[in-house]
Amino acid sequence: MKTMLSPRELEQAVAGDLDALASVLDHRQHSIGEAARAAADLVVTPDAVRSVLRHLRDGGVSPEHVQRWASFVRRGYVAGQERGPVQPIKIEYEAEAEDELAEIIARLDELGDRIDGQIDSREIDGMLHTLDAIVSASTVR
Amino acid sequence: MPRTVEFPDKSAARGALPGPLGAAANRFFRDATGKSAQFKVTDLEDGRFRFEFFSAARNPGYGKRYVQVVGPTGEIISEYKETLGPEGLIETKWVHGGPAYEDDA
Repeated sequence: MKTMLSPRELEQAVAGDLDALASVLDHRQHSIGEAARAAADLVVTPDAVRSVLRHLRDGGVSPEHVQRWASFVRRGYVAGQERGPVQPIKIEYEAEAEDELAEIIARLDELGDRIDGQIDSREIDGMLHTLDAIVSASTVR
Repeated sequence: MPRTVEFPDKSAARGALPGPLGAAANRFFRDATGKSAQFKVTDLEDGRFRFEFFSAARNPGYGKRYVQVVGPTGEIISEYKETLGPEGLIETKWVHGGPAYEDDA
């Protein structure tokens, strides 16, 4: 375990940078909490999820790593890392797309489960289509 | 005797509690989906609350129950997911804590 996590790395992880996530996963919750206090508001955007989905579809990242990203952004702590009570950090979903982001992140968090644990490229394309429509609509506004 | 309140929808469950517990409930129930139901909050009467909801799986007859136990300041004491099938419990995936820790708590 490393001792210091930079706020920038945490921001990048929430923004869908899976290399930055690997760094976050290497820290204890108190370090993640310190980084969160120094970071900008942590908000998952449609663009962040699109980036993760594209990496998953293209095979550039393992389903396990994507599941860990989804678990972290939905819960605000790293699963299975702490022994005692854990104080999660605050990670919001972009308000205009909150329901769609919750649906997709919940689905990604299922990766590896015995039931519904796989996501094929067709399903990923459907999720990307949903997010593309949200981004297009917000651009028009 | 623990008291359980069931809410009709995700939105009602998200606003179930005040203060830090409310923030915890809001975060937990935020991730319920359109296939989720049985939104419940149980006062465990020792300062802890248990949140739970059920989400139907894509495979008919199957589903997942998401459960989180939080302390008075919204700290997470335990969290797990149960996969249920026609014959009952298939697997429990612990996200945080576990039976050994619950015994200590």
